[in-house]
Amino acid sequence: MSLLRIRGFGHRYGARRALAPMDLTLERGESLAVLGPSGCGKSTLLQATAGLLEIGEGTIERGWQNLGMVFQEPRLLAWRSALDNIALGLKARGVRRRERRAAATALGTRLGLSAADLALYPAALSGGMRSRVALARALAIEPDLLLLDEPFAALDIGLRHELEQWLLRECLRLGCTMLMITHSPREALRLADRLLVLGGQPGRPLLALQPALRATDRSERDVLALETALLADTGFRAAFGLPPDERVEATDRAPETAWFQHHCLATPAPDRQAC
Amino acid sequence: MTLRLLRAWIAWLWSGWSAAAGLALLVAGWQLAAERLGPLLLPAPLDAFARLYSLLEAGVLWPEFLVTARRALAGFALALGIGCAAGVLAGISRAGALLARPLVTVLLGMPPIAWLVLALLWLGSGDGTPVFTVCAAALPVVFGATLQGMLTRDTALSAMARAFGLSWRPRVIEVELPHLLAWLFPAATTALGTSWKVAVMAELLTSSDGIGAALADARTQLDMTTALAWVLCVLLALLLVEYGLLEPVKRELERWREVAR
Amino acid sequence: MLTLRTAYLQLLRWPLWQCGLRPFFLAGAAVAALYVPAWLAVLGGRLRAPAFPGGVTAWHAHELILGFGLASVIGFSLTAVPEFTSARGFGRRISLGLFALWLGARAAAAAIVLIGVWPLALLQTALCLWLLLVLTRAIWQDPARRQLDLWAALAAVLLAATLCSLDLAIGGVLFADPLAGLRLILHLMLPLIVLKLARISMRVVNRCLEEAGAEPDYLARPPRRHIAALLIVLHALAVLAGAQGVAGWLGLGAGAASLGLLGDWPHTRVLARRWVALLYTLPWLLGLGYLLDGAARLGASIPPSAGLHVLAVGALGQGVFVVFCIAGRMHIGLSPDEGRWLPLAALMLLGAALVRALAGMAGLHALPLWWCAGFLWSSGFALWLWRGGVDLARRRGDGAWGCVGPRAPE
Repeated sequence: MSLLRIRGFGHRYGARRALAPMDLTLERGESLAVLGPSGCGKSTLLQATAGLLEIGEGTIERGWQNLGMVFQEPRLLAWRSALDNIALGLKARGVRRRERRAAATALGTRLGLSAADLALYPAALSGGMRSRVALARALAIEPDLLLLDEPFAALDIGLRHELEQWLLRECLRLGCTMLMITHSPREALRLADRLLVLGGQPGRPLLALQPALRATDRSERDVLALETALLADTGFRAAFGLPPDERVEATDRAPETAWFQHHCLATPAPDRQAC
Repeated sequence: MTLRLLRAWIAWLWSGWSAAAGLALLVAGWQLAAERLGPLLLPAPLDAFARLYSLLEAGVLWPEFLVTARRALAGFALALGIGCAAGVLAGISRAGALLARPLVTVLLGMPPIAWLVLALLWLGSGDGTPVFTVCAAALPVVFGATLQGMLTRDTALSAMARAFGLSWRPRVIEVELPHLLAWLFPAATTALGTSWKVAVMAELLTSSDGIGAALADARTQLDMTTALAWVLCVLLALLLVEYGLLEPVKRELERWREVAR
Repeated sequence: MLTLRTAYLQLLRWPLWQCGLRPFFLAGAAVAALYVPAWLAVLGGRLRAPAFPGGVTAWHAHELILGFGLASVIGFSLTAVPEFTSARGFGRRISLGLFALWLGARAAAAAIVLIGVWPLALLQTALCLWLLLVLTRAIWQDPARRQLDLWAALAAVLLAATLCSLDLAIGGVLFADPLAGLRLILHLMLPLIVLKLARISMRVVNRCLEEAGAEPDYLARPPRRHIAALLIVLHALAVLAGAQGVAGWLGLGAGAASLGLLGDWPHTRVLARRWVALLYTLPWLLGLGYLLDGAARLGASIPPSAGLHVLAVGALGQGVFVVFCIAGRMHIGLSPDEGRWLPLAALMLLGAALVRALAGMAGLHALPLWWCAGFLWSSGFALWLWRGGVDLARRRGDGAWGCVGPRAPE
């Protein structure tokens, strides 16, 4: 069966509808990035998947055993050392102290945290190190589903690149499935096999994109070319409320079809012209 | 671990020299005032210390001290238990919090002396009156801090813990309790100081034993030296508990707040 | 006239004047080595007591505080102030002039019976005010005015020395007893140790920590030394005002604050290194001295001079010795002395302080202990004169001039 199957899930905050009912299926080993402008309901989707939200309409079938999650902010326990923070999920799973500390140390070392760093409290860590700890905490439990909520948004491009590459490698090693939300097309194209673009008020799926290469097989050039093509796509521009790009001639748009398998899912708000 | 704690404690005690210097400055001021005012109004510090020692020698000090300590600590423990429990309950439900807010304000504003009058009528002149008064004075401090701690819980951290599959018990221990302690501990220190003061005051007005009663005796005999000796006794006990126990524990509990050296 | 001028120019060429600390450190050590035996000989009746206002004890205190102590302070400030304020050095003429005044004052003090007190008073007044003028100009020219605390401490010492000297001549208008004024000067010299210790010890201790492969994280926190300096000054004022009880409590406070300075030190094996250990004894001696002084004033059965001598012989003596050994080497272009005589001399000074404190306590006979303490202390400084002091009169070996430190090895 599928790892995650969402059927007709929608959500309201009070009277305001944040997310129109939608379907989504995620197979084992796949990675999907949900892309969209702020307020399009992508965080709601992620929280509902993590079980942090009461589900009013629709169903979410959960086929996973272990869920790892990386939040937009690191969300570390300030009164625990970096090492204990990494081992938190293992502790919840009843792993013995010695074993979980060994596992956390090994993972932290692979992420470039020294033993001295691991003994520090979060207040004494730099922003980059805190992000590493948060990432290590999610991967320490060897998750079969990894949820990422714009995890690298606050990092500089060098650090972001390093952590993205590391994440791809570890995910490949563990064979984990990944569901991430982001508003950065480049990050989505670096990490995810396929993309889902949400947009509109309330949010609904607008585009589903499947690049020819899997995320792990894409070079930096591929990612940049894909991003250029994506930014030229009328439907994508409309989803983010970007004005149509007049410079893009019909002839330039030809390669785009070669890059993407492109599905138009819905018509966006009437004032936006797309698809 | 034990060795590290011991070293930290010794380092902390050593840093007490600067505090001792401050105290010496205070006593020097006292000495200056005593020399100006004369021994009838303000005895010299050395005389008060000597009187304190002679009280200790005569075996008067300990019994009275223990009586007061018993009352203060009993009242404090009661206040801590009730205040924490009530604070947590009020913090769990928004309705409770809404209801409790004005209650805290009223209780905090109520002078302990008013409780004393009521308690004397209800409980007579035994242990009950001072214990009740101490409890009534310390309770709102503990309750308010607990409630505030409950209201400022970090929901993002709770969500994280839930996402990582922590059940409620480890979630309380790992996430909620440390946050609550950070609020409760300073309040408990304040409440302990209040407990001492109020216990002595209650004894002064209602009891026939304890430090407060001894103070009242000294006052009726116009014996300033003895009165000051008793005051010194209270202050020394407070200093000892504060600097010898509470402050190092607090430093250890809050080590995580330190930013990189 | 011509020959006098040639002689002056000839004199200026001596290597002794190229750095302010050279003549004064040598002179200070010489006073320590000669005057204490002289004082003990006077006490033992082997030497005729010199005439001095206030008696022979006042002579002893005056010559050691304004001879030994003031010479060390002048040598230190003439070198340290330009260094700390990144200003130019003061030059040979000032070194020579100040030293001539200091030497004249010593001669005048010895010849009081012939020439009276006025020459001594005027020479010392001129010495202190001239130095104060020179230092003030240097410190206030620094746009950031970083050394105001040092300035305040130096100014207090120099003004007190001026007042004390003038008071000797006009016959005790300010201080009923010359000893009171001299005690004030001594107490005002001690904040200098507290302030200067922070700067020197941070440099020395962190270098040693680094050499030992540890993190150089020793930081002498300003609040601690400010508290210590404040209480020392308050104590000095209370002593001056004759408020025995208040001075007693302030003495205890100053002792506690001095011991509090130790809280910042790294308590690891680095303390066993000689320079660190030397500096580490200073807060201990200050603390012990003030605690003894305070306790004696509050009625403990301790001889009243015990605390004072732990401060003078111990804290001031050891502090001056450390400066002799560190600054007195560095500013003549040599690396620190690693010879075995140095810890020996330091132990002799430390022993002198402890033996002097014991004298008169617990029924011990005072006189043999005084002799012992005096011998140890003088010998310590004599040892320094022999092994280190002679280099101060020589040319620099590295071809450089002035007070600059040794060139770093290529």
